[in-house]
Amino acid sequence: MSKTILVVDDSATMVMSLKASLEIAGFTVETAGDGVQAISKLKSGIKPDLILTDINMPNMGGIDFIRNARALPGMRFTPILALTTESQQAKRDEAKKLGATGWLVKPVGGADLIKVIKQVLPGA
Amino acid sequence: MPITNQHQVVIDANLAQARMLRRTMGWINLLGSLAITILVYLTHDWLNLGLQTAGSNAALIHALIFGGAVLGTNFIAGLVFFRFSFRVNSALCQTWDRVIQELRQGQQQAQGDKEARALTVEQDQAIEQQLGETVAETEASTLNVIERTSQLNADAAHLLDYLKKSTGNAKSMEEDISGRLEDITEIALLVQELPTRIQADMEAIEKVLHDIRQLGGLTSSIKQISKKTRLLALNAAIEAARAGEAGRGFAVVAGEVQSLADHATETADTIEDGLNRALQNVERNLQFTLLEGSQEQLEQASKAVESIHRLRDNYEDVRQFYKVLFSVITHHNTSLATQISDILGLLQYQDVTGQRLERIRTTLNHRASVLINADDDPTQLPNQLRAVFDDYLRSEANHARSQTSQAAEDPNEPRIELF
Repeated sequence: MSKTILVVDDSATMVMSLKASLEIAGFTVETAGDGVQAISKLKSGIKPDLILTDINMPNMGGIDFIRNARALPGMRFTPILALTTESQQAKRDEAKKLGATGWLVKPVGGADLIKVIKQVLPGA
Repeated sequence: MPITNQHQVVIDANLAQARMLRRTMGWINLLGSLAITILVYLTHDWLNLGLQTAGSNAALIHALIFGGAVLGTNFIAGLVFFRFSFRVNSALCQTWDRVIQELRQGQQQAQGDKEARALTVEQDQAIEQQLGETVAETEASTLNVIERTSQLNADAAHLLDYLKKSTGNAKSMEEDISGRLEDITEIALLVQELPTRIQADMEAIEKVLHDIRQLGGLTSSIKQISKKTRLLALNAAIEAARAGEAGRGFAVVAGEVQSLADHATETADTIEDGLNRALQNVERNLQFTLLEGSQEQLEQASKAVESIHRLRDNYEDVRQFYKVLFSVITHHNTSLATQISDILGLLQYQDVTGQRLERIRTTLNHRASVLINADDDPTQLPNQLRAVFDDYLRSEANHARSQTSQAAEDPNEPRIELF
């Protein structure tokens, strides 16, 4: 059975390109336009094997989303990768402190992205 | 000349006037006092002479001289004061004219600046709108590219599925053809053995013919027996005639025996003719089959076997060709999927560029707001504009440059970092 990845990004192009790229690699992809939508999906019963989230988003940004997602039952050890244009160390540290698994600066090539995902998601 | 310099000119002129007045007053007082003293001293004798000739009062004469000297001194001082005042006022008037002119120029400049700011705001807003439309258009185009790329991938996947199914079908066909090939090979072997079988059949027929020829001997024996029987019947008829009345019955039997012998001879002739005709027919047909038909059929059978072997070889070639074809297509399809994945990764640049354009739009909006509110206190405008640009630079610094830029990756801020 294929692994499920939740993609959270306010950019339609990012969501579409990541979805297509991950589906080619054999993953099942769920999408959300911001942190609020993503939390709502997680609460509705979707249990992703990995979460790929942007940091700068309207309504609820990536940092707050990581904080709220980690507080949900069953989400404590789900890998969360931040995929963003943000590069400042302070935000990286904050994300790390809140339980993010990694930090990827856009743009990330298809092969590199799959490689990182397979690193943090054994058996994928 | 700036208005502040005009102000300095006025101050300098006033100061010069004050200094000149002070100096002039000093000199005139000094010179006047000296002149009066000398005049009083020199005119002492003139007083006595005046008194003697005119009989005038000495005090009156002194007062007139002293008053005339003071009047003359004051007159000269007044002339000097007037000249200086005239020059200073003239300079002041010229200065004020220039000040008024510069104030008018300043007002015109201020009006020009205001219009320039309004125009800058208008242009900034137009550029900001264009940037917004550009972001929207690139986003739409990128989504279109993603959709088409995904479709391309789906088509490639369908092609691969089709090939996989075709491989399954080909395998089934292969098994079927293999079964058929075994049948055909058996037939080929059968055909190959056909000449031997025909030869065996011909030998069997020869044997039959030999047996039929043997039967020809039997008809001769029957005719020989009939001949002897006829002689026997004739002797019996003679003996019956010799016996007279007693041999009448025996004569009838002898006649019947002769009749049977004749009939047997006829039958033997008929059988012999029939056997000869059949033998001739079989021999003629068999000879034709052996000499012409069999040879041709054997050649055809040999060719058929050869064709079957060639067909099998061709089938193996086709099978190998399709195997290689499938392998090549699968390889290229995998490569295509990788390329498509990389293209989709590259399309993330649209988001990166879009965000940078959004930051420029935000900065333009902010600057337009500052320029619109600059009429309240224009002196703060430079600082406010500097602050807007500093905000923009700070925001840019917090976001990574794309990998296509020449800047080397900062080792402290890697693009991919796992915690």
